[in-house]
Amino acid sequence: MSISSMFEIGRRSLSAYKSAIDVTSGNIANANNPGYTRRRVDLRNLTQTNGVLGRLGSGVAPADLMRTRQRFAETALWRENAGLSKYQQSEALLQQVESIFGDSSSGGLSSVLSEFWNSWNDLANDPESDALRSLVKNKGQLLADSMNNTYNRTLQFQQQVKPQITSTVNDINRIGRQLININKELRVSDNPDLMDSRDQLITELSKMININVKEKDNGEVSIFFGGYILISDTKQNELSVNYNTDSAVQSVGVVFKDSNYEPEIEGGSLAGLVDTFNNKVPSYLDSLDTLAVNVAEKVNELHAAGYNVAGTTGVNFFDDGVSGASSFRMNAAIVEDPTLIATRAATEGVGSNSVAESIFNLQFDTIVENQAPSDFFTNLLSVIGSDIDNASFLRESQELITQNLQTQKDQVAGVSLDEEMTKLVQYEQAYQAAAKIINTVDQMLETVLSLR
Amino acid sequence: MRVTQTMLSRNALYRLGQRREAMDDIQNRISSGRRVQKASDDPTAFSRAERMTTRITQNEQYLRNIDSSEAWIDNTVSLMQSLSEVVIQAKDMANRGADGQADANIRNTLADQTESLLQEAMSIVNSQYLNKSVFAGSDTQIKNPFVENAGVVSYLGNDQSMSRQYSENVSIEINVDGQSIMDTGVFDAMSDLITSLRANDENAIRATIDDLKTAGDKMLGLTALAGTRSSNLRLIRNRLEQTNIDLESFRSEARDARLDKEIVSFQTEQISYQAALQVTAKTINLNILQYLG
Repeated sequence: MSISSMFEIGRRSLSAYKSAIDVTSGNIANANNPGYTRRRVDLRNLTQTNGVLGRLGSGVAPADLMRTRQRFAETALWRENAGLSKYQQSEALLQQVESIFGDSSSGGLSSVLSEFWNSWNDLANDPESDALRSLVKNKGQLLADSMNNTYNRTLQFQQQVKPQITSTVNDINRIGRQLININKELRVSDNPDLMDSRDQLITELSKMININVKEKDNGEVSIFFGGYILISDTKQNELSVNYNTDSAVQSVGVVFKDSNYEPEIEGGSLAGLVDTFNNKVPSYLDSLDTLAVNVAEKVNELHAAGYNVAGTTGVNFFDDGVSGASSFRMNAAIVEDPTLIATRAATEGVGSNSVAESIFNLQFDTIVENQAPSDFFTNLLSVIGSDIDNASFLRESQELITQNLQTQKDQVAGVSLDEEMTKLVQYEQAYQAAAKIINTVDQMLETVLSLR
Repeated sequence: MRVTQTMLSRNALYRLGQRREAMDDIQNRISSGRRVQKASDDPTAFSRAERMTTRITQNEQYLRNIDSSEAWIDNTVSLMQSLSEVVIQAKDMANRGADGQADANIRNTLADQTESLLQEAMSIVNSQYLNKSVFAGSDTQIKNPFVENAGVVSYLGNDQSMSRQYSENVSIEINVDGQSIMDTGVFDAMSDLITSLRANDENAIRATIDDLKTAGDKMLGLTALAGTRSSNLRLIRNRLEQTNIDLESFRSEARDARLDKEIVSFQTEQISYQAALQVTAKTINLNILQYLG
């Protein structure tokens, strides 16, 4: 081996350790970047062709620049993200619905309903009184307002979910396009930074819907959703949203644009949004409607058969056309003239209160789907409450799972400053040592050259 | 195990966030006094508390019913007692008129007095309370349900009872209808007395004594009935008030926060949180850079 080849060893060491320090400083700079996977330089021994002592090494060279990945944790994380986002989204939306339906303080529908029944009993104590009739009319109007209000605010809330659904679907399509671009680039070059951004995009996507990811050796990905291709090579199936506005309570369908196929959305924030929009809110509104229709029907039945002080009968208390909570209102005739309110039955004198009493007693009768009206409403509130409770509980357990997986992933792919700093010191010393080699070889050459 | 910067900060933030959330919940419970503010806090306890609230509100309504009925019933009872007094005085007149030593003049004077007793009885039975006729049955808007025409009293009201509800299946009548009073025969007896006094007919007068006695007994029966209602109401009132106290304490158990427990939890959480903060600060600060030359 010649002296000049020893120079080569020195030179190669310098450049190898320089690139090692490069990579380390890159790692340090990105220590707090959550989307960054730690790079590692593998240094390998270079072997030499025949020399004096047989095969000697000829230095070091950097082999591969590797991204350290924890594949299992990555895929599991993408899967569990979908569950976490779904429960987070459901919980947040349902909490808003619960506050619309009111808690057990005054002003909520429960207490307004109680006040309505009680006003009938007050009238039953003094059935000839006009003042108490006005009071019954007032409580009736309050009940109608409360029903209308609750229904309308819930409907408005459903409307507010619409733009969220649309923008989520737009985001999904946008990420799809970006991933297609990255796929194209990865086909030609092998860029670790591109792969980092690819993974970040996939993580973002996994929070929106439930996806399956397949990765090729060169880094290109195919993404499947509901068994169908979302992205593959350069092909993307975009999603679109259809709103069914036939009735006031709308429904939504998320379909693939080209085939119009509607996949089942099992996870992700989209699942939470669509489930609340299509299932939960309509069923709560349905229950409210049932309550309204049954109360109006039964009160009207008793009231129309009753007589007021002047002897008028056949007047409905609530409007004829009550088909739901939004059309729940009082008979306009009574609003104008509360003396029409009936208190007694056919053959009874004006001091009798039998009709007023029986209307008061409706609150104990199982008039709404085999339950008393206030029990029915309390049940509705409990159902909403348990839905929230469930979502909350599942969210918490998903949070623990994803935390765990993140930790596993970071263990391998994260940057530890302690480790990088140590390596920095190590490489620097090696760099200095390599410089020393060059110095020594230089002196050897000088010695040789100074031979006469 | 490798520990990286992002791991450290993420875990620390997560744990700190959890402690904070726990403290927030406790503070919420203390300041509102309730453990269950909405259904999602505890659905089963919530529906239990709601049911009790409904029952308590209903009982309060019944108590209001009792308040408004008690006055009417007491008024009825005292009117009936006055009427009984009149009957006793009429009997006295009859006794004096039946005395063999009475003559036409005395009997005439007695007849005049009995007439004014009759007028008094008429005004008693035509009483109004809060603009309603007390003894007209359910025809409470008739101003004078009893009319007298030449000594004969007739009744224009009806015989229906008015009832009030004091519990889910408990209704009690609160009135004495005029027909029952007519049925005691008191007015017929008094008319007969006046006629026989004017006619100076000792035998007829003696006959009315029995009629007045029968009428008086029946009247006592009606009065006693009305009086029983009053005491029944008092019993029901006591029961309702006691039930409400019990219901309120059950409801409180289900939904209210126990301040002593919450405050102790709060202090414990506060200490854990402070400890967590201090340790996090120390750990995050430590790294090898501080020790490299």
